Formats: sequence, structure tokens, C-alpha cells
Amino acid sequence: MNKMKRFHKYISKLNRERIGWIIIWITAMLSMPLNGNGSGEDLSGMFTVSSIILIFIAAMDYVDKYLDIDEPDWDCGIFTAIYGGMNGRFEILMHSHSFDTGSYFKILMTGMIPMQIITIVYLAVLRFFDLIAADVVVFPALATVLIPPVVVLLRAFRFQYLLMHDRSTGSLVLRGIVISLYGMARLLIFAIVFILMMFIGFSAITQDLVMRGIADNEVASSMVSSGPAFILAIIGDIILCYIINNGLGGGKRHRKLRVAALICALVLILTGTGIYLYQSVYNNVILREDSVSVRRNGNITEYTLDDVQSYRVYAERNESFQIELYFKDGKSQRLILDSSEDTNAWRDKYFSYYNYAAELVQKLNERGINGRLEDQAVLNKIVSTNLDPRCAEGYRIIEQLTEAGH
Amino acid sequence: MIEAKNISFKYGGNSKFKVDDLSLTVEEGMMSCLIGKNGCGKTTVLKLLYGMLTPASGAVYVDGKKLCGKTLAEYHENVAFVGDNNWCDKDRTLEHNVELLSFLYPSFDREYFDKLLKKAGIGDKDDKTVGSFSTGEAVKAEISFALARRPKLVIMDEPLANLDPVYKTDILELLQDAVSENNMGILLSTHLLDEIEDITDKIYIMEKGKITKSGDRFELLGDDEGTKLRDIAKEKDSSG
Repeated sequence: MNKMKRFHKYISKLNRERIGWIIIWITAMLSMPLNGNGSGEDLSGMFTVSSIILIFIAAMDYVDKYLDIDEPDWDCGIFTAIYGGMNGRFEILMHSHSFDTGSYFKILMTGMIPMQIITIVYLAVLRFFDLIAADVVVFPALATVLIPPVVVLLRAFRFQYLLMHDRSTGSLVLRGIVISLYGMARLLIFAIVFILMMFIGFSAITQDLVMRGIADNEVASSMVSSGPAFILAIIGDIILCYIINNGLGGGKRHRKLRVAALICALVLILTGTGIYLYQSVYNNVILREDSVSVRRNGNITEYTLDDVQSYRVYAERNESFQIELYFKDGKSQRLILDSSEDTNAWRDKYFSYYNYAAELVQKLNERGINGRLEDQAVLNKIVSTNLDPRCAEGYRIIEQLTEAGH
Repeated sequence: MIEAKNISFKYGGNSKFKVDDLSLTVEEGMMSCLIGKNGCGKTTVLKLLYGMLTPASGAVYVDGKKLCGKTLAEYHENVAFVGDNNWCDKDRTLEHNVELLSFLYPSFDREYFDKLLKKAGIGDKDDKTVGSFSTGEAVKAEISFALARRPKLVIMDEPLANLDPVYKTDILELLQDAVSENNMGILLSTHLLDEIEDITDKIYIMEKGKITKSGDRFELLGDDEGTKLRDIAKEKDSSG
């Protein structure tokens, strides 16, 4: 064991220049934005998902730090620093030498414990000061306890697979399945991280472009239909993550294929980004308290509530809530699109689009403009099972008003 | 002492055994040689002896105890294998590699390693990446590292293949010294019978996965059979 401890320390020294996701893990957890309303409800989903992803990434990086001794085939700057090298070489090298795998992974396992303790204590403190709901704390806490050891075990499994001398078929198949699942999970995590980064990047750019000319104290929301933008970007993202995770490959032909894939990935991401930016700037809908501005390919048409002939409230195919206005000029417009940017005044006034739609329907009814409510069964189901009570309240008002309107 | 008793092995998907009911012994303080044509299974035998592969039947015994997964790590501390392309990280210097790998071998003798490098004529190369070494230099580095670990036994897979005569001589000298000065046991595979026949103590002839002949070099090489063996070697040499 002492020999392995010294070896472990030596590898750590070699990899010290890597950005420690361990530090990022703890820092991110400590600086995660908490819900302003005190109950943690609004950000609960984001907090839970984000923290589980962070824990997984940190665990993977922690393991890689001790099973990684060389630069990757493709040095891609910041990504190399973040994601480290191609770790297959470590196993191949150790295959040729007397490497006590069991002891080494025991050291890795015990090394994670301080970080797990810090994270659990942090979550406990959040809960103690009622900064976050109990049910929100549970999942990250469970993830902290379970995910890191599972990641280490899976890696040990893979390590043993590469080092193993006994290659019986059953054992190979089982290990192969486990390794494939691990690889897919890892790729998915990377892709999600990239998507989140892209999303944050998009928001930062589009917010400035789209909300130009709208003051933050104005009650306004800009809606954009992204079309295939996100799908293209996500596909490109997954390919890019695969390339970064696996490098450009060894042989010439292999390398050419991967370079081609990389170019495709970048084209997809740029195309998706371009479509989204174009839509945000040239094809959007700006909702205000008493008007709707529709921009189509750069041409703006402003509609007041008096320009509305009728309206329809229904559930989209994916069961999401929708309100569509039919204007006197013969055109129509769905109001709730794929993504939106809201002013602070909008967020303060309306908890959700249900509440906005309720107010809109009320104002339209007051003007004698009738509308209809469709897909009640679907909408009732969503409201009764999934929605915050404030959203449900908005929907009930719409239900009453549309009935009253009829 | 390593003893293979009736070991057989076949690679997955093949119906034929690559190694078929084979037995041999490698002892300390002796140079043993495994000779055979290409494809007869020499490398497979060496890997079985080293524990890289598990025999389908029969077993390898180390000082009378059966070699198994649990004892492998300890076994590898006392037995070295030469001929594995992945023994070191070729993008790092020899110095870095030795620093990394010496943790795994408590018995690694740094002084002896430097002495071996000097003797092999590559004493000034330890700050160069191993990938920049010539084939002969890389083999010498690998052998020096293996010997500096002070193992009891060294298994070598064609260490003299594709080397020019000067390199071969240097390597054979290193091996001879290791046997005589350090009482190491060496088993090497080769088809270059002429070069090793003067230094080897024991010879195993292999054909189609089986040992067809074995014995002391004086027994095997001193008669008509010896001539036949040399002919096999020459035939192999000219075709290889």
C-alpha cells in the first residue's frame, strides 16, 4: 500500500497543472444562486440537475487526475486543461508493469471522502438556515454519496478490463456493456455542459440584441421561435464533445474522418447559432401589457388589443400551454414561443405566462372580443399535477373567462 | 523457478490450439532459449509464462506455487518481460519513465541502471524522449530497465530481432553479465541460433505449439540434429 501511496502522490504532482474540478465543484456549489423567495422552489430543478452534473464531472475529473500521465494526441488548449488527456495510455502502460490496482483504487476512494464531507456539510448548512427546501437538498446529497464511488468503481472496472489477463467471453461482454454505458454517460454529461455553456452564451448575446430599446422597467417579454436551431446546435455539440473526449485518433484515415466530423460539428453549431440569432433579431414577438409587436424578417407590425378579432387558448402537441391571437388584418400569431427574454418589470408583474394570458384574456373579454379554450382535459391535467399554484390560478381565470365569453 | 506444466491455449474464435500441452522450465542463473519458426507460438508461450495470458488447461507454477490473478502483482515484481511495446511512455524521456515506473519496483537499482545504460552505449540518452531512440537503443533501454529491477527471471520476446550485429553483441553481453553476475534466469525467444548458441545453457525447440525437442545446448547442437537446427534457423533467417 505504501508503494501505491507514493505512486499516487507522484501522479498527483505530475498532474497538478490541470484545472482542479474539485476546486470548481466546491466553488460552484458554494456560489450556486439560491431562490429569492426562500423556499427554493423556483430554482430547485436547476439546482438539483446542476449539482448532480457538477458532482459527476468532478468525480470523473478527480479519477482522471490520478489515471492520466500524458498529453493527449490533440492538444486543444483550454479543453486540454479542463478535460485532461487521453487516459487510455495509463492503463496500457500499467498493463506492462506490476501495478497493484486494488490498492491504488482504494486510495482514490478514500481520497474522495473529504470532498464528499465538505459538500454534505455545505448542503446541511443551507438546509439549517432554511435557504433551501429539504426535498431539494436530498438529491444532491444522495448524488454526493453515491456518484463518486460509482464513478471510481466503473473506472476501476475499465482499468481491470484493460489489464485483465483472463478474457472469458461472459466477463468480456459484461465489462464491455459497463464500459459502454460509462462512456455514453460521460459523453452525455460533456454535451449537457456544453449546451448549458452555449445557452448561457446565447442568452447573453441575444438579450442585448433583442431587448435593445426596451427599458428594464417596462413590462415586456420578447419571444423567439428557434426552429431547428437548438437541434442543430445540440447535434453539433454532441459530435464536438465526442471528438474532444476521444481526440483525433491515431491513424491517418481515422484522423481525417474525425477532422471531417469536427468540421461538421462546428458547422452545425455555427448554423444553429446563426439561425437562433437571426430569429432573435429579425423574427420575434414582443409582448407588452396592451400590445403585441410582431417582427417578421425584419418588418415590424404593432398590434394593440383593439386589433384582435379573436383568440384561442389550447395545448400544443407537446402539451405546453399556448395562446394564439387572430388579428383583423387576417394574420394570426402564437404568443408563447420556444424561448424568451423578459424584463425585470415583466417578471415582477407576471409569475408565468399563464398569468399574462389570464390578464390578456380578461382585457380582450372587456372589449367584447371572444375566444375559445380547447384541450381542456390536457390543460387541466397539467395544471392539477405539475403547476405552481400561481400558474394554476392564472389558468382557472382563463377557464372562467372563456366560459363567460361563450 | 518458473515451470509451465502441460499448458494449452487458443485465441478466442480459433478452433486450433496455439500452444498445445506444452511444458518447460526457466531457472535462475541460466540462459534458456526458445527457438521456432514464425507463428509456431513462441510469443504466446512467453506471455503465458509471464501471466499476460491464462492457459486454457495446465498451469504455470512459480517456485512450486500455481500462478493466479491474486499472486500476479507479486510475481511481476520478481519477473520482467522484455518485448512489450508499451513498457514505457514513448513521449516522455527515459529519465521521466524511470522516475514514474521505479515506484512500482522497490528493488529498482538506479546505479545499476545507469551502469547498464553506459555499458550499452546510451548513457547520455536519458534526457531524450524514448520515441526518438533508434530501434536498437530502445531495446537496450528496455533491457536495461528490466535488468535494473533486479528480477529473478527475465522473459524476452525476440530481443535481437531487426538489430544490426553491433547492437546484438552489446545486448548479448548485457544478458550474459546479468546471468553470471546477478544469478538471473533468462528465457528468450529467437531464431538467431548462431548468435546465442555460445551463451545459452538450455534450448527448447518449438513447432506448431508444441515443444519437439529440449535439452542442454551441448546435447542438442553437437550432432546431426544440431546441423538440422542450424538449417531451420537459416531458413527462418532468410525468410524472416
